[in-house]
Amino acid sequence: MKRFDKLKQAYPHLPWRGELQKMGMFLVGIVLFLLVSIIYLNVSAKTAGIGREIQSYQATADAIEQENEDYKSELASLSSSRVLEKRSEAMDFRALDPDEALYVYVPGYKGRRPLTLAPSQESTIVRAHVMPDEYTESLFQWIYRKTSPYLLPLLGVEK
Amino acid sequence: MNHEHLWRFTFMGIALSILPVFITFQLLRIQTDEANKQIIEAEQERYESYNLLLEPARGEIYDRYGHPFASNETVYEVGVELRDVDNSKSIATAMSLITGADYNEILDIASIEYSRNAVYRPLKKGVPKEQVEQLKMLSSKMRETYKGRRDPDTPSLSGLVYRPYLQRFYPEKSLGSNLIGFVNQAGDGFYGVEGYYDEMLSGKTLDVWVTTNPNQVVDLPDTPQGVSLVLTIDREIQAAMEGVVDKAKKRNGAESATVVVLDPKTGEILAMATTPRMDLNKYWLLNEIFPDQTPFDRGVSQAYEPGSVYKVLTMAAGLDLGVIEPDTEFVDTGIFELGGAKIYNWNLGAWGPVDMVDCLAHSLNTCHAWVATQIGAHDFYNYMRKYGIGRSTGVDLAGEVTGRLKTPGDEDWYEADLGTNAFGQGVSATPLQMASATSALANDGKIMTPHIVQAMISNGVQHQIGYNIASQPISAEAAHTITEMLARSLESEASDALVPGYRVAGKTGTGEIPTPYGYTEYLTNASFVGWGPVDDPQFLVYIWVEKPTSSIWGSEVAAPIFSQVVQQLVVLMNIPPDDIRHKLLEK
Repeated sequence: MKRFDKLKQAYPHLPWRGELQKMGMFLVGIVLFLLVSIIYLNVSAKTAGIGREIQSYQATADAIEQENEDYKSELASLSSSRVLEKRSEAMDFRALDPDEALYVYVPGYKGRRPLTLAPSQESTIVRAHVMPDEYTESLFQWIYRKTSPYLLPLLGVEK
Repeated sequence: MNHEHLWRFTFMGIALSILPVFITFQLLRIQTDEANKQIIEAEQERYESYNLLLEPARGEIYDRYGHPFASNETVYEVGVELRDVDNSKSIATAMSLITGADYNEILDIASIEYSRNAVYRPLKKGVPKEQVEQLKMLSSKMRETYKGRRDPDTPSLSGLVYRPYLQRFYPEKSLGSNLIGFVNQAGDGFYGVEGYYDEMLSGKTLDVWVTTNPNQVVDLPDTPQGVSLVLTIDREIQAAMEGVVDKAKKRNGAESATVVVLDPKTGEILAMATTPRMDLNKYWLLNEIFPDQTPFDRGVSQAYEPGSVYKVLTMAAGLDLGVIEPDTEFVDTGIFELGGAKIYNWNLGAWGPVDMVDCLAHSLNTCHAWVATQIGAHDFYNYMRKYGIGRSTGVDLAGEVTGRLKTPGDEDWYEADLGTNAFGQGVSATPLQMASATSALANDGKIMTPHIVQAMISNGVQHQIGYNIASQPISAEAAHTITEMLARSLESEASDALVPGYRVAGKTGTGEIPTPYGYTEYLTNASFVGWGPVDDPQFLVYIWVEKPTSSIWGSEVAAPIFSQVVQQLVVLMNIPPDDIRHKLLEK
């Protein structure tokens, strides 16, 4: 016990203690610096990688958009009036003579209607609540909502 | 360590100490010096960011059933990175052979010495994908074949670069060309729908700075596609009408022929065919196909004196005002004097006592001049204004002209004009104006604003365009009465305009052509306006044949065309013959 007390009393006065402390602090500094550097390097590398990915996606999106436009144009060419006329002629179709037409009454048929190529403004308005209750209610309201189906019958309260 | 070594070490120490100081100083100098700063910033901009023009794809144009009239396709701008050019002659040869570009022009451009101000030069725009593929294939073959050779004459397409972009494409080529218009290489819309809706179709172009530094990359702003348009045009009817006008022009040796087909109940233009037409993909041929003052679309851009078709407007106004009735008698002496001018009939004949149906059936100028006097100048011109004569119809097509309606108070208006205007002389209107004005007679007295766009698609949502009543010049009763009178007049004359199985109303017109020296004798404008079926009008057709040489008379030139048009329309529009339609309606 006395030996321990002696060491305890002598330790603050050891000549290399200060140097050890300084070295320790220096090493801690280096470790911290390396840690921060590694984290920074890691984050910036990830950022750069994702940035490069975004650039690549943007280029891909542009290319796909152009490809889509090309497909649409190709389809338009293939279904153009002249092409279809030639195809129908090749298949032995001919223009209808009004005298040959046979008209049949089809209940409910209102004739050929202009095509709708996209949804109307009305049909795109979402009428349902899109935000879940959790985003608007308080904690107590949430607890009540979750527990009431079980608690209220137990308490004999009817909804 | 001896003295000499010490000196060397001291020298090295000083030198090595000064070097970082010098480097630091130089760094600071470059960073802070204004001239250097600008150069650094410019270089930084050049390598780290660039200006990007975000051009959204131009909106498409469809017919009423979704058939595309205009879409977009990828084409390329072929250019040269001057620093990378190894052999300008190879580039010029390949470009001239594959793309048809001028050899010397390409050689001159590709031979430009690379410098700070000469980095890239475009060689040719609008190069199709197939040609670019050929150039790329040729380039790679050259690389493989002449691998390792370094002499300056080694064939090489090194330096060629290809930038893709979207260009307008018209799959129907010349079909509906006068209505659609075109887009030039700069992306500007001209004529027709392309011209009228240019801003909407082209969308919003954004000029953004884009960084190449992946650490600073940001999401590009959203550039929605330009607005797409759904037209009221029916492609099949348009094609049929174009066939009709081509035949009519050829058969009658006419200068031009025009047919307008309207739905009188909505004002929708179902077809408007005219001559000449052009393949819209070859818009650079514009001046060849439309020389001098030839209008791009005669339907809206050329006003002419319509002649007797105009009489239906005069007669309808008289009926509406109540100054005449179908059985009102007029004694035709073959001459009618008004304001000092003598008005004669087309055959210089006198028809004696006639009623108003006969007046229409025989197309008597004297009778209609008399009706105009019964209406009175003030009311007559009020009616004409309500019909929309002398003013724009409001149609959504570029290049509409208004024609001319002289009215009392104008310097060049004389009392005699009331009489001549009554039968379509001294007044000018476009075919569409005439069709629109006459649509009042086929639609319970109401004129619906003629239009060609029925819906717009923006951001994935289709917005329907409603119908507008432009005016109501006459009552529904007057409209029904004049329709019945015209149907009877066609039937009584056994007109060539009649269509088997369908009751139609209509009127021919033969308009003389004004010149600075008076009216022409042997050249006329032959017209016809008609609609049907009489009890439920579903189409209104206006025909104009300009300067026919087969005959000068509208009854011989334009009336048979009306019959042909209607025979095709009833099939394309699924309109059964009257008796079948009535039976179907009873069910």
